[in-house]
Amino acid sequence: MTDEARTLRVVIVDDEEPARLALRHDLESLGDVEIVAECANGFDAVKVAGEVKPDVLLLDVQMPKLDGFEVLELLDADVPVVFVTAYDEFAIRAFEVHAVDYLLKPAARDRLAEALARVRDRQSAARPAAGVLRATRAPGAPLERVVIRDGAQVHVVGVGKVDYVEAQDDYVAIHSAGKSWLKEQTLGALEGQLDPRRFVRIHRSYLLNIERLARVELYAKDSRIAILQDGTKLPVSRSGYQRLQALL
Amino acid sequence: MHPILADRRRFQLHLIAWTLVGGILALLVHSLLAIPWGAALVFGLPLGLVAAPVSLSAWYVCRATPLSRVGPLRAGATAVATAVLTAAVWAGVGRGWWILLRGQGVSLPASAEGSLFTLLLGLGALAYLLSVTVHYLFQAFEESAAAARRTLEAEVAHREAELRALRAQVDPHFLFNSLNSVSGLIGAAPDRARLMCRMLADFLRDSLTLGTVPRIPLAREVALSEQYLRIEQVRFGERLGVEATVDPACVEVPVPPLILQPLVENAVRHGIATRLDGGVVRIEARLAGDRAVCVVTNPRDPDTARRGTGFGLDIVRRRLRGSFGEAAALAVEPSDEAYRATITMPVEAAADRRAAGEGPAATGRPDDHEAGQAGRGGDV
Repeated sequence: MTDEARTLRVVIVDDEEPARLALRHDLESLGDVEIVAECANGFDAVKVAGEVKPDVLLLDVQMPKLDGFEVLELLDADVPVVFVTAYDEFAIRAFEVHAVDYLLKPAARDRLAEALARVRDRQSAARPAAGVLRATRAPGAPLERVVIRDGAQVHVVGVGKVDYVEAQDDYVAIHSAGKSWLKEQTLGALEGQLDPRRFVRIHRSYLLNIERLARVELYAKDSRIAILQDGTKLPVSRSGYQRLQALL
Repeated sequence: MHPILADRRRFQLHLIAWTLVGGILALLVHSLLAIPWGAALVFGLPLGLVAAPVSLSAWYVCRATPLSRVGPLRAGATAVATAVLTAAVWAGVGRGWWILLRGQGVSLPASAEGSLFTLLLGLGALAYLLSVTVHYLFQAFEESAAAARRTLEAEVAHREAELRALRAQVDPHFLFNSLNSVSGLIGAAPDRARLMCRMLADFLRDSLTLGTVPRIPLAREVALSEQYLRIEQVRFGERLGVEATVDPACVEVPVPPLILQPLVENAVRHGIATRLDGGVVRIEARLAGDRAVCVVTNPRDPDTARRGTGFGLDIVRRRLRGSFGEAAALAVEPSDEAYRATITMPVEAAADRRAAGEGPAATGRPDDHEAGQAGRGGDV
């Protein structure tokens, strides 16, 4: 750490204008801070963060379509995030996803300054990027929608619209209504987040939305295929068949 | 359930009463027609017991013509007509019974058949009327019990409404959000911050004041919801649109205060706030026959899971039941992209309102508020 503080490049993300005004006002009075962008929703935040590579994202949690945790999941792992929210119930999750700090609105200016100091500390410490971020759901509650980043674009798919998920090395292909998206995640990790009463692992490489299943056919001795309502055929392993039976 | 069949003690009393009628019949037959006691009893007692189940039908007569609705004249006429008709059938049966017994060698003279019919008709009609009277008493008793229960429920619901009004002032989320907005605006736009404080103070004051009276005019209630939505507009900016229309015919219809509040809160929290580009919360109040209908509609995001809408809806349902019994209802129509909640309430006559202890307090103030509200809405 040197005495002269570097100028921090900050992006403000909040869907409410007065909240953005508050942060802007406080940041401007702090000095050594440059507000490089203000975003009114999570989609813009993901896009802007990829483009301008800010030093820190001041991120609201409760936003439409894409909440703060989902934005964090879609960000490159090396973008530090400070959550700014009116709700204290997210603090533990914020800690789990390695947020640099967690501010309660309305945040005191001193507290904001402290959070920025932590960002600077972290920069100089040059710590390796935090591990895989996965706490995008409330503890105990299953995932409600899957967020996927496709370049600068972000897709949000409600879990009810997911037909099935296919493992592809370090990625999963999420199939929904004839389309599919790749997401950097393992099938096991995604399975752990989804509701086990709705999604069943029918095969080492396939996770099926039980509502899409039309029937299971015997294909050869000890080998079955699941036929979905849209006609898609997926292999069912022996243990997968047992899991399917247990669920049905 | 029939009030006599529903209770064993009442049923026993009922049987005893009709055995007595049979005894009276035997007495009359004995003394008026000079029939020996034995034959009179053999004839009278079974006939009395036969009438017992028939008399239960008086309950349906009472139900079809409740005294409280049709008035004593119609109820009386219906009761007399039914009594005469039923008694005639009974008398016919009695005559058949008489002939049958005589065939079996019981000493009942054929010559008495004419006076017997008249006797049975008179006694039967009187006994049936007595039964009707008893059933009306049951009905009155049940009605007053139900009314007492409703009053109690209304009182409980009203307490809840007061609590809720209180909660609206201290609702952590609404207050947090509003304070955050004020805090944000203070530095950058002090005029808007002051306006926001004023709106917040007005809303809290009005919801507290109006929340304590049993009824307020419908137009005032809609204006109160609008006040709330205008405050939320500061947070949501152009994402939140507000449209409210009140049919001039139902402006004065008395409604429980803050009955719409849970619905507009849901419309914002579970509707507008879930959408990137927001949408319009619409409130529409109109008359439909003898009912007032309030509809709150909002668009919503199909992929956002909604939790906690049930609590607000439950409060509305309970308050409606407490205020109007079964005459009011809340219906919700959720779809993927939108949500609609509809309250249907009876229009109470002004006399009922006065009886409910409604003073001029509820109607005295709305005008200046609405005028002030309309002037303010646009600046935010």
